[in-house]
Amino acid sequence: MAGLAPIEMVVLQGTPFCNLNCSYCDLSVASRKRRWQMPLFIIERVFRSIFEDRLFGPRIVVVWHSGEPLTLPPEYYRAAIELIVALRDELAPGAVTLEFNFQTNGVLISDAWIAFFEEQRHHLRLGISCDGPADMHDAFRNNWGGKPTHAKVVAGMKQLSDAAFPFKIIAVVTDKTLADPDGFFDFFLERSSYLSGFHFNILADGELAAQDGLVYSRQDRDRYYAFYRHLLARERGVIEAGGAFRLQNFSQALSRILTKGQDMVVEASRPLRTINVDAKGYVTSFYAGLEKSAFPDQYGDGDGLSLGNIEQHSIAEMIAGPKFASILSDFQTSQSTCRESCDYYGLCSGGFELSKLSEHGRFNAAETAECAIIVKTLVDAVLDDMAEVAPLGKAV
Amino acid sequence: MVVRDPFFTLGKFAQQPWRNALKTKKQLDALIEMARAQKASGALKGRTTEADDTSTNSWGPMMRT
Repeated sequence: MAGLAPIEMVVLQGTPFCNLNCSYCDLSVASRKRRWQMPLFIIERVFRSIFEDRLFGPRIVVVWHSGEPLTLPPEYYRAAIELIVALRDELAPGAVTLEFNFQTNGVLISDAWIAFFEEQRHHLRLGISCDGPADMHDAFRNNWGGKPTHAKVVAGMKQLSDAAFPFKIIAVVTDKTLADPDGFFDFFLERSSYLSGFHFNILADGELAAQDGLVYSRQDRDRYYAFYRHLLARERGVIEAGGAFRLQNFSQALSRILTKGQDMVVEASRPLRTINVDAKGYVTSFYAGLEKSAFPDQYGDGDGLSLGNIEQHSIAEMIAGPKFASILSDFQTSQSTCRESCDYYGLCSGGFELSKLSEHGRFNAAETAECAIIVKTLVDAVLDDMAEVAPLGKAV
Repeated sequence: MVVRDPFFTLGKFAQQPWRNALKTKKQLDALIEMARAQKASGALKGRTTEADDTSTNSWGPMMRT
């Protein structure tokens, strides 16, 4: 296992079921209607495997996602957390810190959930998926009956803020966002005093993004550039006014710009950094949230990039197998192709191996539409914004 | 190289057709040097830096930024 990162994150699919039917969700409709629940014995298998084989670093973040976690009761999570903590205390006492995260759509937040969050506050973090004002959010995030969800999400966020429980926002950017960057920014700025973080996401230019309002290509650099620059200018306005609202997309890009020698392309999809376990015990790595259903025939077994099922094999056994070696080799091919051909390599956030496979049908390809819009245009915008605020005529 | 580019004057960039070309390696290197000089001189103007967090930024291979 030399050269493999220790496990830093474990994403558990407590259930694939979701109370919403967001049109851009990367889980299938069939999956999101299954009321499966990950049994506690699978959780035990996962963490015994991690602790007994010493696959952990100093900290593991356990995340419940890939399905709406709040459709299961608080009692389930209380039992799961107690189990994981007990296993840590038995098998790796004092060696690893545990943090528990929920990524939720926020619709089901209730007094009972607030009480649970309070009870677990010392090691629990929340992320809420909200796309901004109602017209942006409800264009894609509706329930199974097609009804809008924004009002319920806002109510959930208010309950959290009333309880002084901070949360991070993940917002998906669509054409509606690009058309009204001020509306988008102001919606979250108004709530920024109780946000622990804010990050916007752009869907990969694949099947999921092939919907009205989500389609983009390399030819859309202008409008994304203008969007980024507008948000950078708004963020600068907040900074100059003494405010604290920051967009993590920009903070992270700036970190890559300022830090010499890091290789996020390799780091972002480093195997074992993240382990995902679905409700039936199938394990993937390389990306947070990678589904077994993605690229099902890529490795000839119909199981996508799944490394196996935790009921049959430990994680150490999975990474000793030939499938893991094949995936790792493909990812390394992808990364070396980028390293050799892209001027933005050292500025890249990484994580585009599978979108490359989707667009080019192979790993030994270079730029994708995502690279152009999500990395290169963003970096250009951040650099140009910095040049903008440099003293007039300053030569470098 | 003078890094201030009037083409990108705030308030104008949104109305301007952007040069639909990537920066060259030379341009990137110059701008990165400028950014690092800003940091060294304490002129980041309150901008913060943060390590990439691939976990919560992007769920699954279909969401990236």
